[in-house]
Amino acid sequence: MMITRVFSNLIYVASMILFLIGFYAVALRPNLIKKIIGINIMETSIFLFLIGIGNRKGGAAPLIVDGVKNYVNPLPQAVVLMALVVGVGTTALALILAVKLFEREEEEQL
Amino acid sequence: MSIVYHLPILITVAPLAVAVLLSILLNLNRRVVYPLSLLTMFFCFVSAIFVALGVLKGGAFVYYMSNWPPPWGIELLIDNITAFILLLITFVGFFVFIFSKPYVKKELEKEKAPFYYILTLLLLGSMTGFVISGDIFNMFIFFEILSLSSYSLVAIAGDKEALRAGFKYLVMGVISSLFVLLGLGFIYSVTGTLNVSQIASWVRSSSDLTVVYTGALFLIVAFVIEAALFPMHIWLPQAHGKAPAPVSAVLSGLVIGVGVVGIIKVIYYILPIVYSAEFIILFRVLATIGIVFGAIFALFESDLKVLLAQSSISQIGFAAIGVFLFSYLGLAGSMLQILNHALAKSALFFGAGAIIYRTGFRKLDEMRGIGKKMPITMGFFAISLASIAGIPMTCGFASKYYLCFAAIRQGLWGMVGAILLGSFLSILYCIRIINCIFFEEPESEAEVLEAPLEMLIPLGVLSLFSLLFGLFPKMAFVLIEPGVKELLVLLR
Amino acid sequence: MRKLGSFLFLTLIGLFLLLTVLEMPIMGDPANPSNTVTTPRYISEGARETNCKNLVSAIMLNYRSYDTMGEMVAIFTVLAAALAILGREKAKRGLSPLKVEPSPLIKITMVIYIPFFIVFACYVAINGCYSVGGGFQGGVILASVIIIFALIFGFDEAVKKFPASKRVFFEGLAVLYFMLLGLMSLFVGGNFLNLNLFGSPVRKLFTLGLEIGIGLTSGITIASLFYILKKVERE
Repeated sequence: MMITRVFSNLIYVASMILFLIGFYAVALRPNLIKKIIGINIMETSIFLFLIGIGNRKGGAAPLIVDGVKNYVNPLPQAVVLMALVVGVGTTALALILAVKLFEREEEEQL
Repeated sequence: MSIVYHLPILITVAPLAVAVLLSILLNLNRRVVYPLSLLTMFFCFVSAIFVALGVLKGGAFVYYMSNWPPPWGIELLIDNITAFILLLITFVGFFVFIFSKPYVKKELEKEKAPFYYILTLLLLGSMTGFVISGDIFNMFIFFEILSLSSYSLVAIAGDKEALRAGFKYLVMGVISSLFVLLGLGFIYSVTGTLNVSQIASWVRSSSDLTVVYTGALFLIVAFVIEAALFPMHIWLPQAHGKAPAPVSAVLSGLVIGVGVVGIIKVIYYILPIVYSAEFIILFRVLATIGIVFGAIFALFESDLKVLLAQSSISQIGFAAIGVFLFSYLGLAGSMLQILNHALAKSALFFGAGAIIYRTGFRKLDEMRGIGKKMPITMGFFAISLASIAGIPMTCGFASKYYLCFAAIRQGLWGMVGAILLGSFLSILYCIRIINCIFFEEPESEAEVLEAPLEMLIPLGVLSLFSLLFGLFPKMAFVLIEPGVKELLVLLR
Repeated sequence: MRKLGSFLFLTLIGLFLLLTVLEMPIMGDPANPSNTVTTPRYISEGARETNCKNLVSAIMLNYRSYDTMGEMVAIFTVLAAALAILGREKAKRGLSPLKVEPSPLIKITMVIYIPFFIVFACYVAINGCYSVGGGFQGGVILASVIIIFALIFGFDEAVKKFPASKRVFFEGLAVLYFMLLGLMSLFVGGNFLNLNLFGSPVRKLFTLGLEIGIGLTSGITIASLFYILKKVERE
């Protein structure tokens, strides 16, 4: 029972593992750029998770075509698209802070 | 439909739209930035009054965004509690703008000043958007705007300390917003909807709640990080201490209060079943520990602004335990505490900002005897300090009294002890500040002027309001009581 | 010690997550709540109600357009924050010229290609409602054009062509357009951001504007990301 569940929900399991890897990088790595990469891994894993939730067996992409009846759920995809854009913004801001911090530390060493 | 129906959305959109407009107008005329943003906040404040009156008279209402009904579109929920929080945000926000002008002129570079106003408008607007939202994903989006603007406002000074604080805040904030997204995914996978009231009705009628509980746990932890409750508070002292003083006032007075509102939204609106789960006791215990620890940290801090930030951890702990008690007295105490903290802590940061503006002092040791040099400013400062300490006749006393009473009612004697100990410790650190600024001899004889009028007015108004609500708690109850009753109805 | 503690904490979260994931409904099952509550109406009525065959675009631009507005404001916040923290980029001082001058062959090829890239970006953005794609995807292609331009003709040139003030201006216009549409529908008598009050052709025009606006904002932000990172290399 357990094993079959693991296989049927494999994408969820995979996204959770990715989430933990990202979390590890964010929480334990001192390097700022690695932290930012970790943030992105966490984000991506959650997007994978959300897309997985919206899946439907044999469903077509949610683009209405005549004759196709079985579509996947479009809502998670829209949600992910919006969260993705916000995520790009967060990454940009993190990079701005990291770059500026780097500049400041360089100035101090001179 | 009456105009009140459309006002909540205008309160959210007006600051955002004006912020965007200002960035375009900036290239034409720099002078327009300040008056326009002040005017916007004033408009929001007036509209918030109308919304509060309208809700009080006509009851709670929902607003369908783009006229799409809930499971398909986005719904806004406006009831008494959100109207109260809206009023609080716009009221404090308006005075933050008044205070900002001289401070920003002196402390920030000329290039950065307009962006400071733009970001503050975005912060205040997104807070209102978050509070009135009735859709989890919409809450996430506004939560993101809120966090993005607060990280950048913390780091806006651009020196190394500020950038470090900003980055630390960003890492914690990103973890928190990603937790919101993950929790949302869990909840969506079993309910199939993102709408708050529909999830609530699904939860009430369902029996298999494992996945929902996990989602709830993630959502609560996310807002616990944002509200800086005990184990997740590590980002707060730096971020609130290093930000410009008016920004600290917003962050400390409002943003962490909005974090508590987020917790309320999760426990009462989205998942009104969580109160029966065991893990909620964990949060209650942690919040209780946070009260004592924050106060102890504050006791041994030498930088005035960091001290005030440390005390925020303790004070917001008071606001949070009431939320986790699920009783009328607890919630009333919690709401009173949010009100008190927003007024008094913002006023305290205004006071600290006024000292920095006039003298540049940040350490408590340098401020010896400053109360004799600027008596009016420091007089108002002392009133707010008394309210934070919970001296009788202030708003802080009323809130702690209610919380203590609620804990006694439920027989939680450990919590009663922690509340009493926390209040005692807050009185101690407040006495330490008062002693330092009023009763010690100043080191130098240099004259210090009173704070300018633009700083004195916000400081005075906010501290007098906290005194007023303490003297006449009935007035505060007019604001909070209908909301608290509504929340309790949601639980059943 | 601290490391070990955090490691244990992570394992604990991991186990907890895995156990929950196994309790979740089987992925892809048509009887899942995620496929039965909101989806049927989106699929059966979405194309008719919004004029968008691409349901993802339909949700982003019509059903949940308020979220999209918030998303654009979030991106705008980042750009404002960049200007506030970094200050204006100074094209004159300190920005690195290219270390290796690219060969004329590459330059000429790119000059020929770039218009096609831009046309493709516009195609993807404008046709977001009728085929796969949409504003965001078009914007990303647009951003890649800017990045290629900067790589070949030098960073200074790119900053001069597209300085931060201009970027803020365009992005601000796009967000403002969104909000103006929202306010307009208030005056027409609907709720905020109700595009369905307008007749079909007008609505199509507005939706097109929204797509272009989203494309502009997201493209500009991604290009800015590149600009910010490029700044590190200067010496």
